[in-house]
Amino acid sequence: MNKLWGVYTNEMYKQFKRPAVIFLSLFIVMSGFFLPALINIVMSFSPDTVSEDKATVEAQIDYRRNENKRLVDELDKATTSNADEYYIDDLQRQLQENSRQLFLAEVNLQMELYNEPSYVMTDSFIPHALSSLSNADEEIRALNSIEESERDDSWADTLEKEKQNYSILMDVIKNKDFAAYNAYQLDGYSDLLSFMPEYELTPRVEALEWLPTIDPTGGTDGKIIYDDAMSLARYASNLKYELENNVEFSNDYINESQNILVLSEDKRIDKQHEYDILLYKINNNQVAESLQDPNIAMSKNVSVEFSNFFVSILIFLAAGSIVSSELSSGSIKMLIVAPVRRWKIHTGKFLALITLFFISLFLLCLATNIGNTVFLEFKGTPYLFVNNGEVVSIPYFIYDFIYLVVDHTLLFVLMLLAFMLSTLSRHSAVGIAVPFVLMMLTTWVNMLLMILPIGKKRWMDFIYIYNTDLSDRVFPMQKFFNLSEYIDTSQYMSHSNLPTLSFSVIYVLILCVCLFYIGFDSFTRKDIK
Amino acid sequence: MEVALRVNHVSKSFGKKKIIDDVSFELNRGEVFGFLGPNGAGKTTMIKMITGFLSVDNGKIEINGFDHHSQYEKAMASIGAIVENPELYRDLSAVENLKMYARLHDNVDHNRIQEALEMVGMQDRAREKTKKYSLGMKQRVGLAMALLHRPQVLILDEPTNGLDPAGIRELRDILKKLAHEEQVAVMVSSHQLSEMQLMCDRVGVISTGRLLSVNTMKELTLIKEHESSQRLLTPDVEKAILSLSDEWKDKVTAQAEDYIDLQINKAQINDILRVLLDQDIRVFGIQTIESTLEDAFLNITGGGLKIE
Repeated sequence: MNKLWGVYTNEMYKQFKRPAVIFLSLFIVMSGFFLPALINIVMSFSPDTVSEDKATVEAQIDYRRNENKRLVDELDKATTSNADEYYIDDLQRQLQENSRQLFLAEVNLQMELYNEPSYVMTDSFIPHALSSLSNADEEIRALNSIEESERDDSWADTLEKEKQNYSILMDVIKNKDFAAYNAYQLDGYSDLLSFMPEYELTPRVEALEWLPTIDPTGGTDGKIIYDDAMSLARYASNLKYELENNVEFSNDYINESQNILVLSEDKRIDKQHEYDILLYKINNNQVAESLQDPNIAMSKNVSVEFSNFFVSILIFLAAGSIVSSELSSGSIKMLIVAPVRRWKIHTGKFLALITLFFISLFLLCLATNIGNTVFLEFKGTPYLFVNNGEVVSIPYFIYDFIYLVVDHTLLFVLMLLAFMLSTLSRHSAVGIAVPFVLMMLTTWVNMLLMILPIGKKRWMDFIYIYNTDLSDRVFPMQKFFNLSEYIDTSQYMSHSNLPTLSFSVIYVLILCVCLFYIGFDSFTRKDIK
Repeated sequence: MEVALRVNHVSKSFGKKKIIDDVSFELNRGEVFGFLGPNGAGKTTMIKMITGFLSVDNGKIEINGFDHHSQYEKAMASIGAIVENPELYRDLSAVENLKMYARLHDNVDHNRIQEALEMVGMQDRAREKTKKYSLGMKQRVGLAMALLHRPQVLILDEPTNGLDPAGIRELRDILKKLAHEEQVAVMVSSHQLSEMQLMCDRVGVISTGRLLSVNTMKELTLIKEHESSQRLLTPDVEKAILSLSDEWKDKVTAQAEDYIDLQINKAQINDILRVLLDQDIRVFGIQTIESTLEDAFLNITGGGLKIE
């Protein structure tokens, strides 16, 4: 084994003395680390300042008031001149919308909301509260416009209720009191008990009960987008309802309706795991990271993908020339005249390549995580999965590295192809270019397969493309890293029709063994002329 | 003498072409063995089979008593070699190249690396990247590499390529010292007869894949002396030839207006002079025409070998 270790050490030493390997490693680190800084600079062009200035709001109020007068006059003229009914309706709608905008602008001015950070006015619960306030205001005005002769006890109760709502909402907005807003919403559902189906009402109420746990500020601290938190709470409460009642909600987007199906056992297990993990995240305050700014998640992805390009080049360069460059330069002689069997030379080089593969992915993982943490305050949450009913947690960095390794299964296979070609040909270009072209082709073919309506055929299970993308199947719960994105898309996604994980793993193993063996056989038998 | 390398009925073909045809020879400890042949004769192929570059189709190679096929690592542990030109890792220095080579052997420490570099006179430039080296410097580092693990069999393929005359002399001295003082078995291939003459104790001649002869340098010198001829300078060439008996006539190898060449040794000069003077034939002088080593080889090989 000493000789094997010697070949391996020599190969590692030689690789890290190659200028190309040094430069590419630097590129991996630099791009992984500094790309988030660049993205941060680009993002800083839209600074997170106050939402508006006072003058703008005042100007808006003036404009809306004038517009209201104009619309009222026009409506009067239209009514008196018996104009077209649709025209009158349209004017009424415009007037209604303008009045609503005027009201919101007046509230904005009155409560000095223009001084609030823009995220409060876009991403928190405040826009929703404002909308409810505006509805209450409309209701009150509508009720007040009813002729006195038509007013009864019910009218008085409704008016009282709306005034109460109006008052609550004004306080909610003024104090940015999310708990009060949530209580107000819960109270609202009590009115719906009589005419909303139980399967719709229960998850909605449950979601509201969860919301303060997910985000006690309702998005006013800028950490969580309120809509995302709400989607998550709804998703979790839907899951809970499905599991408790053994049903499955199935959205029919064509007829815009929701079907209720019986829950199958397979799906039940999946849903139970999802629910356990969501609950764990909610109860352990891990939601904020999962719902963090999508730009940060995008930055992480972009920096990984960009550095990934250099990882691929590095691996193909090393693997595609590891034997061929020695054959063409003649330096292989040093190895051949040494008392080392050929299989040890081949295996030592292979082990060095595997080490290089892991080192480059480790560098990629380290650089992108540090870069995104330093420049964008990226926070990775632990990977969670369910084992024997218990939620198990893997620290983020470890998960991220393992995920990268699994996600690079294709690169590993192509590395073996490059290694094999390197033993078969003296021309390093063959070993480097062929796997690189194949990798490009794979991306394009993948895109084509997604676009073309050819469907999934049985024989396709035997194409490497369908068996080398293992990450989603090895880490089914990785979707919880970007919850909002997952919850948005999961409802539209059809179940993928990929081969099973065990099939793909065996497929990849056989492929790797074949590629390794062809190179091994060629190298150990080769006459070096 | 103890045999260090035994090549037994070895053959090798590339496709249908036989490159080495049933070659057998032995290399003893303490000798420098020359492997002589023109380009394409099969010298490098033979060396590449011994050093593990090429497989052996038929026959057997034993190094230090270990079978080259079944006990490969033990057999190869005794060998140090430079095959064709020494090719080093260009981005590494001589020291780094030697360190890498040392990792593939047992019991080679840093001191030995320094010792090997000093032996070939490369200690001062050992930390420079080898891509800056001349061919001669690479040869020296290659030799240091071949000697690094104190091999018992040293095989050098055209080792003087790229060396200046002083370097060639140094190499010759190193090889002789290794063979004669440290009992290393040295095998050197070359197509330069003069080098072989100065360096080797024995020479094997190979042509078109067949080993034609193996002789000691002493034997070759005797052959050479035997093959020497004498030139008699005389104005009476015709008369002189007529006066010779048939036995002497057979020794005439050439004649011109004023001389006759006879293939006789120095001891026979008196006899032939006596015959000619008895017949009143004038002899103005006698010149000895030395036979070259090449002529000796041509005679051994029946004229079928043309050495460069």
